[in-house]
Amino acid sequence: MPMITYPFSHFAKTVTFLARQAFLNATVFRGNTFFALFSDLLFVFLSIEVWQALYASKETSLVTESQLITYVVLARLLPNVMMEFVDTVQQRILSGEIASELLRPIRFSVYLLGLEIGRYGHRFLLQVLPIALLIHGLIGINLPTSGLYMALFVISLVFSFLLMFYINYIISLLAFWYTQVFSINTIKNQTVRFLSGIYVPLWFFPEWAVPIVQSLPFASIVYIPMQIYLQTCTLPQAVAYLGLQWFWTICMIVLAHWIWSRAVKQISINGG
Amino acid sequence: MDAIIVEDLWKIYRVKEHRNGFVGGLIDLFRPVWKEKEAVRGIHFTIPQGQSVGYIGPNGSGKSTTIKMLTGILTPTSGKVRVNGIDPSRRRRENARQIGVVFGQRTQLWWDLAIKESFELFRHIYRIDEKTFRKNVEMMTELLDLDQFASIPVRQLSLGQRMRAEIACAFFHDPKIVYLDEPTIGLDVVAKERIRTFLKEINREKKTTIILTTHDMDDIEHVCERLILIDHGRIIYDGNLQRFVDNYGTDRILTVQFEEPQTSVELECGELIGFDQRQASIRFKKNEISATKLIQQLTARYPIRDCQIEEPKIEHLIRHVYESENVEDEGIHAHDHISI
Repeated sequence: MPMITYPFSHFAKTVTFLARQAFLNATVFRGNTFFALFSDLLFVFLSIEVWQALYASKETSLVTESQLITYVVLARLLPNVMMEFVDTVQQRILSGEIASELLRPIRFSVYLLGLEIGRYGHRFLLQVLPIALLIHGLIGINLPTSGLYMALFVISLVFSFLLMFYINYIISLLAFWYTQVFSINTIKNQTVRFLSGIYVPLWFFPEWAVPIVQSLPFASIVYIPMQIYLQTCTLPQAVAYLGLQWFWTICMIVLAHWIWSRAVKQISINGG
Repeated sequence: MDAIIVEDLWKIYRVKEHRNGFVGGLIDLFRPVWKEKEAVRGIHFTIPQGQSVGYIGPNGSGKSTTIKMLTGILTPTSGKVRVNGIDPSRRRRENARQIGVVFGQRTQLWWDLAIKESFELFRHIYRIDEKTFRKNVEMMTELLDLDQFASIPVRQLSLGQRMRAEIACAFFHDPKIVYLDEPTIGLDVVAKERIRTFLKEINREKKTTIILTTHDMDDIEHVCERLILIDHGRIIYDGNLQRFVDNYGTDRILTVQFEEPQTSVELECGELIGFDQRQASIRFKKNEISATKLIQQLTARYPIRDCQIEEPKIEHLIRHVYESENVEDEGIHAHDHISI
C-alpha cells in the first residue's frame, strides 16, 4: 500500500495534483471530447432503440421498461473500460523505457491512478452528465428516490472506477511477458463489456449463470452499481454488494502489486 | 562523508543462447541454453560527497550496468553498494528521493506535462518545501534559460530544450548525487557549453556529487575532477583527471615551419614524425626536454619562421590506455562484450 512509505496527506496532494493536471490536459483536446460525445450519444440512442424493441416483443416481469432504459443508458456511459494509459504503459514496457519509473520516489500505479481520476472527472462532467441529462429530457430516465441509495451508489461507483483502473493496470503490465498487447487488450475489453453487463444486463443471462457471473469482479463494475441505482435490491443486499466490490478491489490491488513486483524483479535481474 | 561506496561489485547476466534453425528454435522453447555474461567484474571505488567524477568506458564495458546498480534499477549479483549509506536496490524509492538522474536517450520528464507543471509535480512527490522550491525554480530558469519554453508540453520541445529541462528536473529537489548519462548527446556546441557551465557551477555551489558518463571528452575536461575508466567490467584507471593528463599525456608535438626548404632534419632529442622540406613535426616527451630548449636547438641549426605545440587530447590518451589494456587482456575476455 502506498500509505506505508508515503504519508497520506502527501499521497492525497500528489494524486489531487495529477488529477487536476490530467483534467486540464483533457480540456485541451476539445476535438476529442466532441467526437467522443457524439459517438457516445449515437451508441446510447441505438441501444435504447434495440432494447425498446426487444422489450415490446417479449414482455418480462424482471424489470420495467423504464428501469431497462435507465440501465442501458447508464451502463453505456458510466464505466471507462479502455483507459488511456494502457497503450502508453505497454509501449514503454516494450521499449524498455519503463525502467526509469523505478527512479521515481512515487509508485507507478499511484501516478497512473492520479492521472486517470482526472480524466474520469473530465469524462464524467463533459460526456456522461450532458448525455444523461439530454436523454432524461427526451425520454426520461429513472432517478433514485432515496438519498441513502444515492449515497451507496456513489460509493459503489468509486469501487467500480478503482476496479476498472486496476484491471486496466494489470492488463498493461502483462506486456512484460506477452508482446501481443493488442489481442490482450481486445480480450479484456470484450470480457469486461460482456460479463459486467454492459452489452446485456445480467437479468437476461441464463438463470444458472447469474449467481456465478454476479460474483465475478466484472459484475461489480456495472451491474452492481446499477442495481443500487435502480433500487432493485434491498438495503442489506446493497451493503452486501458493496462488501463484494470492496473484496474484489482489494484482490485486484494485491494482484497488481504482486505483478508489478515480479516485473521489477525481472528488470532488476536482467536489466529489462 | 562518502557519498558512494562500492566494494567488490559483480553483475552477471544470464542470457539465452539461441540454437540454429527451426528445430533449434523448438528445442530452445523447452530447454533453453543459458550463458553467463560478466558485465561488471569485481569493481571497487569510493566517492566523497561533492566530487565530480567522469565514469568512462566504451560500449559494453559495464559502465551503464554500474550506473544502473548505483541508481537501484539493477540488483547486483554480489558485492556491496552504498549510496548515502543505503543499499539502492533494496530501498529503491528511498534512494530515488536523494538522487537525480539524467539519461540522455531516455526521458525522466512527464511527457504530457509542461516543464512548469513537472516542477510543481516534483515539488509534491519529492516533498520540497515552498521556499526551496521558489529558489530552485528561479535558479534553474536563469541558469538554463528555461523561461521561453516553460509552458510547452515536453513532447513538443526540441532536443536541446528537453535536455535542459531534463537536467533542471534532476537537480530540482537538491539531490546529494546526480547521475548523468550522455547529457550532451546530439546537442550543438552552444547547448553543450551551457550544460557544462551549469554542471560546474552547481557542483561548486551546492556541493552536489556528480557522476558523469559520456563519450564527449570535452564534457569530462570541463566538469570533472576525477576520472574512472572501466573496460571489460574492470576498473583500469581511477584518479585525479589532471594527474591522468600529466602521467599519460607527456607527449607533445612540435610543428615547425622553415624559412627555406630543407633536405633533412637532424634531432638531438625527440622523434621526427612528419617532414616535407618546409615543415617538420617532432614528437617529444615533455619530461625529457622542455619545448623552449627543443626550439632553441632547432633554431641554432635551421632558420625557423613559425612553430606550434600540440597537447594531446584526453580522448587520445584514454584510447591509448584502452589499447594497452586490451593487449594484456586479449584472449581471455575479448569475446564477452555485452551491451544493454
